[in-house]
Amino acid sequence: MSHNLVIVPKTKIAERLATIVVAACVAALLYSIFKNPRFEWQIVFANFTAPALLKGLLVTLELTFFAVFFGFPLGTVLAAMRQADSRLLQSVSWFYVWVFRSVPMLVQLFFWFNIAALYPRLALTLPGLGELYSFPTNHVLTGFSAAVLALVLHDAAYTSEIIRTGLRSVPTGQRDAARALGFTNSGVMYNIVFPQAFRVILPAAGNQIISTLKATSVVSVIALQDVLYSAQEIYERTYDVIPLLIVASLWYLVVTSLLSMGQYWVEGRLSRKDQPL
Amino acid sequence: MSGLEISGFSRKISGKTILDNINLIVPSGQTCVLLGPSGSGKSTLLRCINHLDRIDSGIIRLNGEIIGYRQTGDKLYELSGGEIARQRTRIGMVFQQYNLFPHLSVLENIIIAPLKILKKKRGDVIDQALVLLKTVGLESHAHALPSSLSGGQQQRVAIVRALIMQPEVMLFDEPTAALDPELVQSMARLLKQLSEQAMTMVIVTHELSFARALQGNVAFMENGRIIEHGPSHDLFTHPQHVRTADFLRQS
Repeated sequence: MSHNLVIVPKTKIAERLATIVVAACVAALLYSIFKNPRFEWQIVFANFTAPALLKGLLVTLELTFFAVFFGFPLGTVLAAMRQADSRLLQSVSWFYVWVFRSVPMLVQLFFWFNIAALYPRLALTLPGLGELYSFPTNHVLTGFSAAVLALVLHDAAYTSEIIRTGLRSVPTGQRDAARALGFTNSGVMYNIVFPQAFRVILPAAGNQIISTLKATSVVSVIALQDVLYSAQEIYERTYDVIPLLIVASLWYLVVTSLLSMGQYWVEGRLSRKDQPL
Repeated sequence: MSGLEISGFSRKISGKTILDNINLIVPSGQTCVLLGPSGSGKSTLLRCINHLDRIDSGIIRLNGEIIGYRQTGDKLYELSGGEIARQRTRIGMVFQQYNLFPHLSVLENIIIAPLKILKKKRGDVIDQALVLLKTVGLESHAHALPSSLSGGQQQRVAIVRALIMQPEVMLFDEPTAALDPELVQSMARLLKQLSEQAMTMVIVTHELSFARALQGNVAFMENGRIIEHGPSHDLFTHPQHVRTADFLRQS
């Protein structure tokens, strides 16, 4: 008769209880958000696509793009230096990563913004030829380029660690096998090491791009008109502090979500390549 | 002369002698088994043959050509990376852990080197790979990933990956180290088949039963030196050196 018995799964009392509590909290939160007039949702929606904000968003995206575009190659160079035989190259790379990961991004930004105090003029000088070309530092390091420089240098330190971890995740036996087949060093890297390291690098690199996007918000302290600073400019005029901070947050959410979707898409394509042909 | 010729090979790592004046000749088409306890330097010797590890002194010739260096006067200048890579295409190597590329299928593992290095036609290389896979009974696994194969199957893929380059010599590093006992004899049979096809081979092992099952010459190594060298049958039945006799008794 045993085949007639009904199977009853055990009741997860704690989980049911937690579900009820959390549901109540969520309901209370939503109620307060939509009932509290001081959120001023109509101002949020009115300003969501304000021209000044969209211009600010563009600056945020530009800063992120430049930071990643220059930061990743520089990070790759630093990672390669760390793997080199030369002790000096190793040490310089180690020192760089140590400094730029230890000093907060905000402090680095102030440094580059004020670098003219340290080096008032930049000059190209060659031994024997003297000074070829020189210009005031402040002409080159404007707010935007100082911000890009700070972001790039900061990003490169993190990127180099990500790439180094990826390269180290490939066992030396893989390099040996590829060399034994007759691959040159670049062939080993291109055909064997990078495709395997990429799987480790990609998720971390995606996170790094997202945190760079968020890190760009510090440039508002040097009055660079990114999406946060544009929101601040508006609320300093209208005193709608919270609605405009919500607008800025929503834009960060949108861009971060798009980046995450891109990351999932690339990772999905890579893991599909894991399947046999 | 044709074959593999090693003379005066020495290598030190931080003061410790790993290889000490190794002299060894493996005539073309013959098999040489490097036998000895672990740490005797036999795997290092194997890696030096295709210049994966460097030597401090000595010279190695494959079919008359110096491997890894160019002789000018009384000096040996190390070759460029590209030149060494080209020489390595003539030397097949099968690693102890096989080192198949996990991101490539069995077939891709086998065809990548002839495609990318020898620039052969894809269709030809695939045909050749399938024929070789069939000889080791793995043609149905061509599109599988290495991780889905057993150790013995992975090893046969590694052998095919080396053979498709049509090397002048094959190097095997402890081919039985990661195999189940019943697979050891089938490995010995496969190596014997290669030997019958006149493949020049250097096989490193510390396993006596496996070494006995192979034909050819045996070099017994200890502490970085070749202590005794001779035909397999002679060395196993009448070892000349007391250390060889000890090793044969203990194992």
